[in-house]
Amino acid sequence: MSDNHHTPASEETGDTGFFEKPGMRKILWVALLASCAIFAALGIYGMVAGWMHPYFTLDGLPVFYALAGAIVAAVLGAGGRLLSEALTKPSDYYDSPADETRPDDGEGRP
Amino acid sequence: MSDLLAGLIQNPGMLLIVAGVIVALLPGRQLRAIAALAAIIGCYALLASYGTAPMDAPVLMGESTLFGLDLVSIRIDRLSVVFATLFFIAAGLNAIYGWLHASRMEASMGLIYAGAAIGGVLAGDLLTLFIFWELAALSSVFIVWGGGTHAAFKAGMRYLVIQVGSGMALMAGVALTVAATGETAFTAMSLTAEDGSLNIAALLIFIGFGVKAGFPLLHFWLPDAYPRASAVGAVMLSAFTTKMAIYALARGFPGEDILMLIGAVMAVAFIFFGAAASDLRRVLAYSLNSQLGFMVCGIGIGSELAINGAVAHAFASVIYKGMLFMAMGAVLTRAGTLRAAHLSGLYRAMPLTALVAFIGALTITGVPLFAGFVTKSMTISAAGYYEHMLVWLALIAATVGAVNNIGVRIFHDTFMGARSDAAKVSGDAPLPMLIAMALAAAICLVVGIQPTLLWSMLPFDYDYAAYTMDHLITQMQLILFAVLLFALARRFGLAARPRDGVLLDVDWLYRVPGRIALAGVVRGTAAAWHRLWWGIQAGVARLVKGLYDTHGPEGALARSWPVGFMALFTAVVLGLMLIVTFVAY
Repeated sequence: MSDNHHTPASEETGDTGFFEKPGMRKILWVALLASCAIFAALGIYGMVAGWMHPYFTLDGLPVFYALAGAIVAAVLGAGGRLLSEALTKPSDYYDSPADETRPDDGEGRP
Repeated sequence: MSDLLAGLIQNPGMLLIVAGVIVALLPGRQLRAIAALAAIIGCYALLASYGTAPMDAPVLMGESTLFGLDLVSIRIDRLSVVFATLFFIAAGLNAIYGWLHASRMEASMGLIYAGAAIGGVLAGDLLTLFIFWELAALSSVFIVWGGGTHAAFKAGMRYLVIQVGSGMALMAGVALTVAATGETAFTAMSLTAEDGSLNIAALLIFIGFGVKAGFPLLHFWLPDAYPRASAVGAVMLSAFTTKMAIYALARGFPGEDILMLIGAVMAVAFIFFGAAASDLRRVLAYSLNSQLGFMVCGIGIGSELAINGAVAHAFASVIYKGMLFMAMGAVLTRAGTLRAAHLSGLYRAMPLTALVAFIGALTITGVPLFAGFVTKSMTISAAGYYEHMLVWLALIAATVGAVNNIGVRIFHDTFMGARSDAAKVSGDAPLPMLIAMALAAAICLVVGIQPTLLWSMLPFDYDYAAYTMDHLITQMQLILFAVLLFALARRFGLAARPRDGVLLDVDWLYRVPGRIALAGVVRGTAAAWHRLWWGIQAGVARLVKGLYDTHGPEGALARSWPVGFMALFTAVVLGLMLIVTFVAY
């Protein structure tokens, strides 16, 4: 889960945090997969047991929400990336770096 | 006029504005913060003393007359009171958050801004609403300028133009309404007139509200200005302007069908922009805009459940979005940057801020036991009950968008993972910031665990059960599978952070081609004026020269004429006069 992929400086120096340890990553993965499985199973069981009250035919399908979550996440990931590639310009596109600096201390103080 | 002032002074928002002016004169940040908190508590006590009233039997106070128009300074009903209460909570959290870091201008303008928003939601007529509407615009621009950079100044100027434009649209609509009906009362209106034609006055008011509510294509001021403010200022900005507009839409246009379409577009479109933005407060700004889509959809659906859902989500959104802006402000205070590409692994240096961001992420994504779960599900349920399938799908997509933009981008990418150099900071957020964030987190939990506390404040009595088995299962499926897909994409290198830089939005149209076009118009106008001016100059010069040539010392008329020629000339003139006289008589 916490496998950050592009700032590995701390890993190179052995500066590994609690959530980056391989054992913890494994636990987080197992927890995520188990949770997904449990709620998917509950959804299917809920359909049989009559817990579920779909609004439309569409969400009457078993695990509709699981599929919707995954599909929208995929579309969003791809769409966000495309949008970023298409519409991102250099940081000084509108304002020069000097415009981004506070004149009172020169340090970009928040 | 004295009636008007007496009416206004009963409005707790007006008193908060006066307190904001006084706070500006006080020395020391802590004294200003203490005075601000005291003023907020005092003004809230005044509001509480007014009690509340049902939607169909509001209590009106501070009635006066101006230029023959009836003004109502205060209208107390459940819609106005819940928003005013929310704004008091937000103002209190802001004062605590800025205890050590709010500048004199931010402390003062923050109170005036909050007071204007409170005054606006309590206003009983359109003219009083306009006064507070504009005051909110004017005070908030100082908070944008509080960012202190030239970029913040320029963003503030753009923000001011848009906000004042919103006020002008509102004023024009009010003027047309008054001209047509002679009434200024702020009640529900329709974009369609009784004869089926477009109600221009209502449309202008609708546009005025829409600008502040961040409707698509009118939204660009929000991601432009909010990230430019200071750490404290951005938290203030996130609370009031957009929610004041949501209140105005709920009051003025409940059940207006077009709002469902607008809200659905807002909910979906801005999650893509949030996913593409690299500045983390810009991600938050787009996420805020997407969440506004939930509220706009709810107002558009217009049923009691949907309006309750919109108001409840506005309440939760002010708290959790403020909390997320607080967390990012704390990161900015410590790390000095909010560029996503430079930040990761902050949880080790800022564990409490990371916990707050985590709670914010759980809340906005709608995890059970947190406020977002109970407030979002009302609007989604209303869309389902009334069979607005596209709205329902859009809101589901927006929920997944929150998982990505807040859960993944704001929480995971910033706080988790290998520690970047920028994340090697000296410590967690300053204590007042932590206290404000903890209070906000507590509110999210309390509302999530005991939603009836919030339900009792909502405009309509509606028995809604959020914690049903199917809600729990479907919501958790939606969130968990979205998280799983994002995690898998990261695991297999299919997802990358957005490119570092400036994400273009609609404002590009007027900041680049618009600017070029404007520069062209200016140059063309200047050239035309120069041509005209030179033409006039040349014409006058020729005229003067001609006169000089004729009448000057060397001119024809200055010559000495012979006596015989002058006698002949005189005779001709006299002859002409005789002829004219003869003809005339």
